[in-house]
Amino acid sequence: MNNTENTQQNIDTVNKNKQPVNQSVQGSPTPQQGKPTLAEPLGNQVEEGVNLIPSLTKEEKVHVKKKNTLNIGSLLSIIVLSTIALGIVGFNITSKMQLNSSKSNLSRIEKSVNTQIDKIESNNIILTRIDLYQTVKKNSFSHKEIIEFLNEVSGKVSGISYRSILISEDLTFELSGNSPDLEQISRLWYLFGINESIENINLESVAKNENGATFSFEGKLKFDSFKSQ
Amino acid sequence: MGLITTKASKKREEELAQIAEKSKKGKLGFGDLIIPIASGTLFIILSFAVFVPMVKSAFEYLDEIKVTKEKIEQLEKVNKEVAKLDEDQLNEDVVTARKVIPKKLLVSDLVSYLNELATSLELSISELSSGDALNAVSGPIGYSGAYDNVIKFLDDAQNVSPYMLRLQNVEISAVQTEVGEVWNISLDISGYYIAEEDEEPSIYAPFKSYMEYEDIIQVFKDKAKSLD
Repeated sequence: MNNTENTQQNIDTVNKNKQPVNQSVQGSPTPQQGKPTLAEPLGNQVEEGVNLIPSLTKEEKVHVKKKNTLNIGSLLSIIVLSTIALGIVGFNITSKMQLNSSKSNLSRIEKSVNTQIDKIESNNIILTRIDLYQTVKKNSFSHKEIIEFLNEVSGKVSGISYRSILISEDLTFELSGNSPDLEQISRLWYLFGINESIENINLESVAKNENGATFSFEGKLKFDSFKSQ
Repeated sequence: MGLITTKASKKREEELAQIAEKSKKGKLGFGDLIIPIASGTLFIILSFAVFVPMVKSAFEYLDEIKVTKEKIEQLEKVNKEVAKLDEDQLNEDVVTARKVIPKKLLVSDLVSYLNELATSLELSISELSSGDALNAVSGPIGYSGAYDNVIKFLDDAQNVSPYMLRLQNVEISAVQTEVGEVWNISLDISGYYIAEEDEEPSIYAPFKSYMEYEDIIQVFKDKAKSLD
């Protein structure tokens, strides 16, 4: 754009200078004389210069404009490129510095914790034992309470005595005993059946003999009623 | 005059050359595209060779910073919790806990304890065998004696014993003898121990203070007292 303007300015300047030069060389210009031809000697006109630069065509103007745009574009792209490069490098360096700072902090705290590693070890020793205690206790129940419970139920029926009681790990139980008669066994069976601490009860065998009757029950107790405190 | 003509023609030639050059300059040539093309190419090359890896590594740094910060937070928490533990009390509690659940429970120790308990309750031995299993000493045992003593034996073994014991498949049965009614008890008993590893604990492992389980520590203390 500037080039175009400059060229046009030059043409104008030369055109302005043209007339006074002609006047000084040829005295008073006559309309017959007109513009001097290239063949004619120009005298002072030569020294001042003749405007031979043609004005830019439309196509040339477009080319010049494109060129200028490209030049500015190149400049801008270089600036952008440099800015991006600086930004990325800066971002990278800042991140790395932050990381280094964090790592040094971490290392300082690690050292501090490591000085107390014995305490941590002792704490863990106790904790593993607590865990084991809880695991064992979680599924354990009081055998004493179960036997006392079964005796308590049998105490409600006269003449009942147990011969054996077997309590398994899954809280199933087997009990056998003697009774004066079958009626007492059925009463005992009923009491077991309605008791909330018993999940289920079966009369496995019953027999009548000279001394009375014998029985054996099988059943399952409810864990919640007998779990260890 | 001839000199002037030569000068003029020379000037004119120069001017014509200038015009030709100017008209050439006005046109878009390859030279005009060198800088944009070069900068574009450089940008693409730099992007793949430098920028992308740099940005990638910067994001990796950020992730690492995040992880590091989390570790710092965790360790600060651990540091604070550990600082709360009184060293003397801790050592005392370790000794107590190791008495109840030792590093290694010897079969002889368990048998000796059970025999002592049975003798104190006037129970006579009918069966006793035990062997070493995984982190436990276990085996079937049998005693006989008065009903009350049999029940007390069960209770003591389960709740008062200095060791961590588990009773399974308990069976009591009454037998009529010349002396009177005698109750037999047979059961499987397991005494636990914890084999400790020699390696140091990781400082990054989740930390929980044992002081949160004061009730269990008290149980350990009560059990350990019976050993002294």
